[in-house]
Amino acid sequence: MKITNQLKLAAAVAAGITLVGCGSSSSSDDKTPKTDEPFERIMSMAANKTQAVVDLTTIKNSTCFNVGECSASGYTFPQDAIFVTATDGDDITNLLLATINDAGADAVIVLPKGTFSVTKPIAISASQTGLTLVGHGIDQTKLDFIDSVADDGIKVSGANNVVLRDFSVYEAAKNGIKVDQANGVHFNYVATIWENPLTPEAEEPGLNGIYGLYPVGSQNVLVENSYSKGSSDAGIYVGQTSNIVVRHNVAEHNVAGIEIENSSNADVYDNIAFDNTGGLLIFDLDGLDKAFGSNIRLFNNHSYSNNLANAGSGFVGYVPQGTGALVLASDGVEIFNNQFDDNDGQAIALTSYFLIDDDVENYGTKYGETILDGWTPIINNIYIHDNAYKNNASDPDTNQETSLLAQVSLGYILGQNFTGAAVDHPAVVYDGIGELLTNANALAAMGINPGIYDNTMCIENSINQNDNGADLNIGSVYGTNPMEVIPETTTPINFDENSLPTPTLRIGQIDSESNTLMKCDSSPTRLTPSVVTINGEKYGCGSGCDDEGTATCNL
Amino acid sequence: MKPLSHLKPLAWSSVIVVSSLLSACGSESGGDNAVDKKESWKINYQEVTLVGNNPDVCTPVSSEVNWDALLEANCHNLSDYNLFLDPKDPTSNPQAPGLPYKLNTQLFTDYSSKYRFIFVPPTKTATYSDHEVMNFPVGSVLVKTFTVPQDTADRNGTEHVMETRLLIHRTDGWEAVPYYWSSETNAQYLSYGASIPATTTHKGKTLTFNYGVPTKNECTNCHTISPIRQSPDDDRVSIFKPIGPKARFLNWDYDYGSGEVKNQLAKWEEAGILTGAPADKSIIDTAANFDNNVDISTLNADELNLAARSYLDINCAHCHRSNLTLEEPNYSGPAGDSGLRLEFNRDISADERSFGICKKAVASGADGYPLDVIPGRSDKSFLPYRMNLVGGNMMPELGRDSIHTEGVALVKAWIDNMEPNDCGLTF
Repeated sequence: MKITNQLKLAAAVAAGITLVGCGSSSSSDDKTPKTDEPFERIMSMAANKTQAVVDLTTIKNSTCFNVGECSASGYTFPQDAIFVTATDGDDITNLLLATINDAGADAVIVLPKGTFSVTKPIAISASQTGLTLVGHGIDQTKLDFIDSVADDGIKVSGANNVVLRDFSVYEAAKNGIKVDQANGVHFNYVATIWENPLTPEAEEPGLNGIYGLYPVGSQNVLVENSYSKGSSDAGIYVGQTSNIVVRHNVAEHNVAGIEIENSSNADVYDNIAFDNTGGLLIFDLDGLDKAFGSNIRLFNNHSYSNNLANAGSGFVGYVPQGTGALVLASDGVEIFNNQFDDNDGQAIALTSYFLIDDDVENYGTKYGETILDGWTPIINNIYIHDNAYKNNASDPDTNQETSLLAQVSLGYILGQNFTGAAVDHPAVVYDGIGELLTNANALAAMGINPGIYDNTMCIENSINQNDNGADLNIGSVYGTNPMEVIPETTTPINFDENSLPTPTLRIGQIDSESNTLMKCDSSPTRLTPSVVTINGEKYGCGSGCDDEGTATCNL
Repeated sequence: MKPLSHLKPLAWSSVIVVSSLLSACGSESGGDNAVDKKESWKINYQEVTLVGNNPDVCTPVSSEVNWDALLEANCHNLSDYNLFLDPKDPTSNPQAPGLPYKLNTQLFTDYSSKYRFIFVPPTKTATYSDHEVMNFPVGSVLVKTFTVPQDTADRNGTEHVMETRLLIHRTDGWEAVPYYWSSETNAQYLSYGASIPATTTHKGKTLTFNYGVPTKNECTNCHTISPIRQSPDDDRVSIFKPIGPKARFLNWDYDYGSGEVKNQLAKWEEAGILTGAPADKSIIDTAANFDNNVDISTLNADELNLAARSYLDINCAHCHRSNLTLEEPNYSGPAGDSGLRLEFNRDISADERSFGICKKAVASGADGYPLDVIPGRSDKSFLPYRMNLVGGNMMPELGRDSIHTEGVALVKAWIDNMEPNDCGLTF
C-alpha cells in the first residue's frame, strides 16, 4: 500500500465523490500484474513482434557481415581495437573487467558476439575517458547480469566522450547503465532489459531494475536507436544534464518510458513509448545540484497504450496509469507533432508541484534553498501544438493510492465538475493551480509575480482522431482567474471563505471556439533546437548538426 | 531457468545462518575443541592472472621503502614496495617512516578488520585541513589491509588476510593500486576484482558472505569527486581523493605500543609528517568513537547524534556530498546530485532536506518508505530501509554483502530520537 499525501487542495471535490468512488472503483486491483507463473527467459529482442523493436535489431550494413570487422549497425572496428575474445555462453567477468581496468584513455574495446555472464558490476572511471565500448549488435552481444547481486550493470563516472553501442544489458541488479557526471555520452543501439513483468519493489525486491539507460549530471548526451524494457523507474532517463538528444528509441514496459529531469536543452524526437505507466515525462524536482530545467522539445514521438499499472515508487510512483506524457513543475516545454493513442488516462498531463505537496505555507521552510537556486513549483511556458490524439482518456486511473489525479478523474467522469454532469475525461489535463496562485499574487515570496502567465500556456492545432465517439477534451483542475466570481454576486469561484483555492474542474473541447482553457491569442515563440557535441561531431536538429534539414527537424 | 536468482530475499536468507545449524561440527564450545575449531574455519585463496612484465623499478635495491616504484609502477607484488618489515605480515610493523593509524568511526566492510598505515616521503610534510583530508605531498602512500577475523569478538585472534589497498599520491594525482593476498605469503596486483566466499562469527552467529575485492575502477566509485558541469564546454574530469585521514577521524588517542598512547595528529606532527594543526586539539570538531560494541541505548541525545553523524559521514558522505568545504569549486561526490548530502560538517539545522528529512528520494523508492528520513519514524524511512538490504538497491552500494546490524540500529535510533514530524503524511 502506498502512502500518499492527502490532496487537501482537492478536498472540496473529494468530499463529494469519495463515497461514490469507494463504491464503484474496486476494479483497479485487476490491473496488478500477476507474477505467480514462472517466467521463461527468452533473451531475444527479435522475439518481440513490435515492428519498432524488430527494426532496431535488423542488420543495418549489408556490406559488412563478418564478425570481427564491424557491428550489426555498421560500426567498423578500428585497427587498434582491443578485442575481448570469448565463446558464446562464457562467464567473461574477469576478462572484461581486466580489459577495462587496464585500458587507458580513448581505447576501443570490442565485446564478443553471443550471450555472456557478467557477475560483477562494470565500473568505468575517468582513467578510461574517451572509451568506446562496442558489441556486435544490440541483439548480438548480450551481457547477462542475472548473477550479479548488487549495483549497476555498467557505471561510468566522471569520464568524457564515452561511446556505448551495439550491445544489451540484461537483469542488472540496480540500474542498467548509469553514466554520472560526464561530458559527452553516446548511447547507440544499446538495450537494457529486465524480462520479468514489472512488479512493485516491496512485493518482489530486485525483480526489476530501477533505471535502464541512466545518464545524470552530465553534458552533451545522445541516446539513439536504443531500447529499454522492465525498469521500475525510467527506461530511458536523462537527469541534471544540459544539451541532450534522445531519438529513435523504443521504451516498453517501464514505469516511465522516457524521462527528462532537471535538464536543459533537450530534443526528444522520433521515439516510441508503449506499455509504460507514463510514456514521456518531463520533471523538475527540488533540491538538486541542477536546480531546474528549460528548453525541452518533445516532437514526432509515438506514445501509445501506456496503461501499465504503476509498480514504481519515489516520484514516478505518482504517475497516473494511462499517461501519454506528463510535465511536472517545468518551465519551457514545447510538445508538437506527436501521436498519442489509447492512453487510458490522459494523453498529456500538466501539473505543478502543488499536486505533490500542497502545503503552500511551508514552501519557504521546505524549499527555500532550492527556490533561491531558481527552482519553482509552478508549471509555465508550455506550448502544445499539432499533436494527434486518438481514443485516449477512456478509462482513467481512479485509485487514490496509485494516481495523483484520481480525484480529478473521478470528478470528471462522475459529474463533480464545472458542468455538473459526467463528461468524457479530458485528453489533456492541466492543474492550473500554479497559475491561479500566481495571478492572485500568492507566490510573490518565491519570486513568482503576476503577469508571467500572459499567453504562456497554449494548446492549438490539435488533430482529433477519436473514433470511439468521445469528445477530445481539455480539463483544468482550477480556474486561473482569482477575480472570477459567481455570476451576479461578489462571491469568488476559485477561493473558498478561508481564501483557500477551490478546485472547479473546468472542461472544454480542445480547439473549439468555446474553449477557454490554455487558449492563446497568438502562438508563443518556438523553442530552439538542442545541439549535442561529442568528439567534435554535432548531433541533433541544430545548425551544423547531422539531422539538420530533415523532415522531423523541419516540423 | 533461474530468473530469480539475484533476488534480495534469497541473498538475505544466505547471509545469516544461525550458528546452531553448524553445531553438527561439534566444535562450538569448550577449550578442548579450540584447535578443531581453528582448523575448521577456512577461507580459500583464488588465483590471480597477472598481465605484462614487472618493471625493473619494482625490484627493490635495498631494504628501504621502494619510493620510486610507488611513484611509477603498479608492481606485480605488494612486497616489491618494501612497505612492511615482514613482507608476509601487512597488519603490523610498517617499514620506517610508516606509521599505523586508526579512524574513530569506520566504514563497514562485512565486519572485516582494517589495518591502516601512512607513509610520507622523508623531508616532506602534509598540511592540515579543518574538514577535508590532510593535504598529503606527492609520494605519500595510504595503506589499508583488510582481514576477515574468525570471530569478531577476538580481532587479535585468527584472521584471514584478504587484501591490501594502496592509495598513492603520484605526480598526476592519487591512484588506487589494489593487492589481493592470493596465498598466505604473497599479495598480487589485481585490477579486476574478486568475490571470495567467506565466513566469520559475529556475536555468536556465523555470517556467510561473499567478500568483495573491488576492481581498480570501483575504487574510484567512492574515492572520486566529479565536476558539477557548468556548461557544454566544461571538460573537467573527476578528481581522486582519499577519504579517511580527516582531522575529525584522527583526533583521538592511539596506542602505538611500548606504553606510548598519543593523539594521532600530535604524533604525526612529532614525526614531522604534518604541519598546521591547531596546537589545542580539543578545539577540533571530532567524530565519535563508534564500533560494534557500543550499546546504543546508553547514549544520551548528543552522543547519539554525534555517533550517527559520524557513521553517516564515513559510510555515506564520500558519495553523498556536494561543494561545502571541497577546495575545488563546483564538484560533488558521485551521489551529490541525489540531493541527499550527509557530510559531518554540514549544518543540519540549516539544511534538513540535505539529510533526507521529509525529502523524497529522487532516483529510487519502495512502497511503505515514502521519504528518506521521517523524524520519529525509522520504520517508514527509506534511508535505513536501503541500509538494511543486501544486493539490488542496497546502500552503500559497494563493499558489503551483509547487513551492518549495529549501523542500521544506530541510524534508526537517531531518526527515532528526532522530534517527531510526520512530514505531512498520513500513515
